[in-house]
Amino acid sequence: MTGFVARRLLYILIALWVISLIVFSITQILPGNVAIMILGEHKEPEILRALETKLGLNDPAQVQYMRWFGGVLRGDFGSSIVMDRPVLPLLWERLQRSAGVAIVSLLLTAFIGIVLGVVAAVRDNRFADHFVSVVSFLGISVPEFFWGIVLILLVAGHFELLPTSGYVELAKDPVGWMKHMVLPVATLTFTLMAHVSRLTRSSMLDVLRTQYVRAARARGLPERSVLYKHALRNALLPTITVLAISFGWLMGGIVVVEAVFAIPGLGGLFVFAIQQRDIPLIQGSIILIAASFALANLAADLLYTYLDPRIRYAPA
Amino acid sequence: MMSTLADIPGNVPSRSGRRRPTWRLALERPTVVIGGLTVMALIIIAIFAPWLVNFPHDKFHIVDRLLPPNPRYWFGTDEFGRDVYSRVLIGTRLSLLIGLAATAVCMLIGTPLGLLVGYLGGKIDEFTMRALDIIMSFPSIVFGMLILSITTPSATKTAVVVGIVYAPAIARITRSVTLSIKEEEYALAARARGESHTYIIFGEILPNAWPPIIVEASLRLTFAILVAASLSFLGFGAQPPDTDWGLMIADARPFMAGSPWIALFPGLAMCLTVFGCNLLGDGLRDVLDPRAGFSGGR
Repeated sequence: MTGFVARRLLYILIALWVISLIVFSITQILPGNVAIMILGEHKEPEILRALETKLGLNDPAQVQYMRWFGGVLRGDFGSSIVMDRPVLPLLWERLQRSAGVAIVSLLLTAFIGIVLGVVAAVRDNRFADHFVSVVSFLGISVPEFFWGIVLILLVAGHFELLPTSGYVELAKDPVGWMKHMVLPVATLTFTLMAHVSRLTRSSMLDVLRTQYVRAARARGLPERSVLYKHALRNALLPTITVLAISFGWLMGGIVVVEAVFAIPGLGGLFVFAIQQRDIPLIQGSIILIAASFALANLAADLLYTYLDPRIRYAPA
Repeated sequence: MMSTLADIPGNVPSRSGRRRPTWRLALERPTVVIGGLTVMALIIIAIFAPWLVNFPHDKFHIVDRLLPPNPRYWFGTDEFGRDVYSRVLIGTRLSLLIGLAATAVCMLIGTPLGLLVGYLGGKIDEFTMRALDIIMSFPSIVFGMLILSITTPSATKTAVVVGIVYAPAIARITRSVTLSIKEEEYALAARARGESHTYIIFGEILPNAWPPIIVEASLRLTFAILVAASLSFLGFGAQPPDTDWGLMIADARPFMAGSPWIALFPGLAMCLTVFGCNLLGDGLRDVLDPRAGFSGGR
């Protein structure tokens, strides 16, 4: 087990390194250089040249990469050009806000998706099943930003129940935080839960047809115990995989949802960084996004072993 | 699990005992018919949009700005008095075109790549799949934005980028089919006959690998339309005066409270499109690839 985790962590590090290479190469091609961005277009060439030399922009690309990557290894992601602040604390502050949205949405997605999936499987081909299918279909058929806008219009604009945009720190005002979370979380959950419910439904249907479920029923166990103790636990394995994949979609969705609801999170920061071509900020956010996704996948694998003792990862 | 060949929808023998052609099976499914008709209607609208519009899509009617739907402007007007109905129709072109082009790009890259590494196997296969895993381990919107940040945004670039982002998914599915097909007797026979690798790959393996690739591509089409719309919404897609639904919705945001119709109609158009494509894809999957489980990854 320890060997497995160690191997996966090593793999994550390699993946992050490759991503750092890709990001660095792409940002190298970005038009305009940092010196021009700091000073503005119309500075005298001598001053520009001096700053370029000071920042090492005339060094060969591999030297620049080593300098940047060396910094990253020591936890120094450089400074944002536009905001003139170190990147890491900035990212950290934004990450906490996005993580709040992400975790609440993922938990809700998992819970609602699994419940709907089980209901649809148990009521196979009856009204509840079809109802769940239609709701799921609606969820996947529309991009997050459209649901977000519709929700804003209905709940907040029409009835004026909830704030439509912005953010309040959890520590300062927990109630306000929750109010601000409702719409973004609802938007993300609605678009993601379809994947979970459809998969849970089909694997639950498979499991319900197995011999051991029939045996459990034949022994006269109460239906509730058959469903939740025997069937669901086995049906959940594929669901966990899809939840791990959903985490990737969730991060893409957060970029959009944060733009819609004006939440100052990591996604919003990334859009801002790209619009402003703030290279250190782009590099830092990408690495952070990739790292969180890799860790989520690792967590899913570990949860697997916990739920299914049959899975043993061979030591390396 | 008890299952016979007849349980698999694609293999139901007809009364005469012969296997019915796939397209007949497909047409018997309501999902395929409804989805197919929707998609066809949209394609027709996209092609004939310039003749179907009531006004040029970028014509200002300043006096008539922000009007609700009425007999003159069926879907209302926007903040410049442009006709929303005409804009939605014109937007259909770009939205569909970006989606289709992106799917074409991802198949053009993904299919040959998957065939090749699946056929060659060994270290190349291992290495390529690991590399693709890394690319796929990335939210597609984020990856797309990163590539788009290099250049000035345009609809063509969005299509190509979305295609690149989704190519690994096609490559992966093609590879897995190739792995099983290359061990089939007809493929082995071709090798024993001393056929060239090119012939075996394109003459024997590819024609038999299509069904799952098409199913995957139909999934990619819906994802591509959605991601492209999101990119447009964030300003990384179509640029004015061109328009697609994502951009229309983005432009309409400041006027949402007072004039919701400006965003609502392009949103509904997108719902309809993705709904149709999803239905069609689901139906096709049942017919072409009955045992396929969940595949995907936006």
